[in-house]
Amino acid sequence: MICGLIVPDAGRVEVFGEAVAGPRLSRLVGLVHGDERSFYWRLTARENLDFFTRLYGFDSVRRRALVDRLLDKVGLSDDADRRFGDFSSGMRQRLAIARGLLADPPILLMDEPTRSLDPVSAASLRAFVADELHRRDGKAVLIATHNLREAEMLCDRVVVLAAGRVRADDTPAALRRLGLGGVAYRLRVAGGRGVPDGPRWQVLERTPDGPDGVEVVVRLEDETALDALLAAVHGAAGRVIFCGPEERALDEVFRALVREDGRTEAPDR
Amino acid sequence: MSGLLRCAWAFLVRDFRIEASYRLSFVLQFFGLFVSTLLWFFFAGFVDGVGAGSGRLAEQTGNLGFFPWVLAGITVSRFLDVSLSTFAAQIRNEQSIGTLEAMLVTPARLGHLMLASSTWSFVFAGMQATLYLLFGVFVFGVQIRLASPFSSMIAVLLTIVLTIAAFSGIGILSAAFVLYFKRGNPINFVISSFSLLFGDVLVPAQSLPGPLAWLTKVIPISYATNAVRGALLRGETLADLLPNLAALAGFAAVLLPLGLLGARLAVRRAKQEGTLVQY
Repeated sequence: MICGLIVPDAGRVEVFGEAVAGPRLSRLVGLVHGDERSFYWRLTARENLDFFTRLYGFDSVRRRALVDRLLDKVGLSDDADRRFGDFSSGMRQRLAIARGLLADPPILLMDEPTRSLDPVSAASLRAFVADELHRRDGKAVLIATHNLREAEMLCDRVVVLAAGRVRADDTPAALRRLGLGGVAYRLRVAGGRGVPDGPRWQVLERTPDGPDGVEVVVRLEDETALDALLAAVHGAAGRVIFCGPEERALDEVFRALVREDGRTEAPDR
Repeated sequence: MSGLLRCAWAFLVRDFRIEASYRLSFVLQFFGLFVSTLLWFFFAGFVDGVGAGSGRLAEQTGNLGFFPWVLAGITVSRFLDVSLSTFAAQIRNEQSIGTLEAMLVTPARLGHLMLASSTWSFVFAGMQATLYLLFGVFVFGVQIRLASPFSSMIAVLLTIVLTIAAFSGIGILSAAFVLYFKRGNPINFVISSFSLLFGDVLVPAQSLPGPLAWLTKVIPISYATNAVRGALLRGETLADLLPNLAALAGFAAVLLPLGLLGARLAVRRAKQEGTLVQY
């Protein structure tokens, strides 16, 4: 829909606060396919890029310079004249990025960018996206992924879509806290009466008493309630051994959000 | 228009590179053409031999002889085949190899992509048709009779362009079927078979039983084969060929807009339903 291949039943696509559609949209948003089949396997990397550059309407002089520059950018200059079919999955994904950059769009939409990559290639690609595309070139990178670990590593902002609805939209840190229903802390307390109940916090989890004391997860009304909580522990003759913010993994948060929709499987995008 | 030409050139370069990468197959296609012409030559010799006694064959082929007559038919039929099938085949191919989506997100218009993606097929059909004629003339001794080289070539080119325009309407409609229903248009096969059988292509219309001979008049390819035979084998002038060209233009004027309209509707519906790149 963002690339204009599907017409929305309602609503519109806005880029930088402006409704955009048609060819202008394809110059603002570059699509990077996760599907290796989106190239011609009998053609070389250069020939593949040359074909798509022609569809963008570049003249021959600009076309050659652009193709050379993009192949260099994604580290494929030395392999430019090798057939796409002979490329590794990582090289194919890099060529897909080069194609997404043909119009030098301010936004890159990446669809499952590391889906078919081995862990080493995936890490290398993530570093390229974060360092080269985002930090150095200033591109906004929109990643559609089911790999929430990757979303945590790469994204400044995460939008959870379930059954076609936005279920959450925040920073990864805020979403991890969302899994606990708000600001939460993990405390280990030795001695005294442990963590007493209070009006501004709620104990969510508690381990049995042991030689190292008791460990609890407490949801606070807000950050300012932490001081009152610690004071209450001291007041109950307890000694705080550990206190740190508590978060849930994003995939746990995601499962919780999907469960709210009554689903047992991850939704299709 | 420049957008369409730019797209056409992009596809032509791409497809030539892909075809050339299959070198043996590329060369064998031309060898296949020669063998096909040889086959028709011997078959025509057999038909001429059988029909010679009655004199009916000479009458049915306008005294051209069966081989020159059928050579013109199969030359024109290359464009019929390509016009009917190439648009749908190209869309289907891009869908199945996964490149359609990548093309659709470029600024190129979908209509331009649909038309331009078949450029190589038409160029290749032109090469095949030319080779058929060259083999016919220089290897198998077919006598060419031109009113004037220039006007005859213009007449042949015009005939080919109008034939492509007329049948491309149906071909584009078939591509619309693929885009929306994800299956080829079954009518194509019927149209192709009817055209070959009743369109004065492989079987002289006069040899058909009365009611079937009438069908020839409503099949566009018959006007194309008649025009090409007139221009290349009977030495007819552009003026002589005008009725055939006018009939072809009429078919094109109806069928081409119909095909484009069908494609537009199919694309709109497929975009609304989110099935444009599915297959």
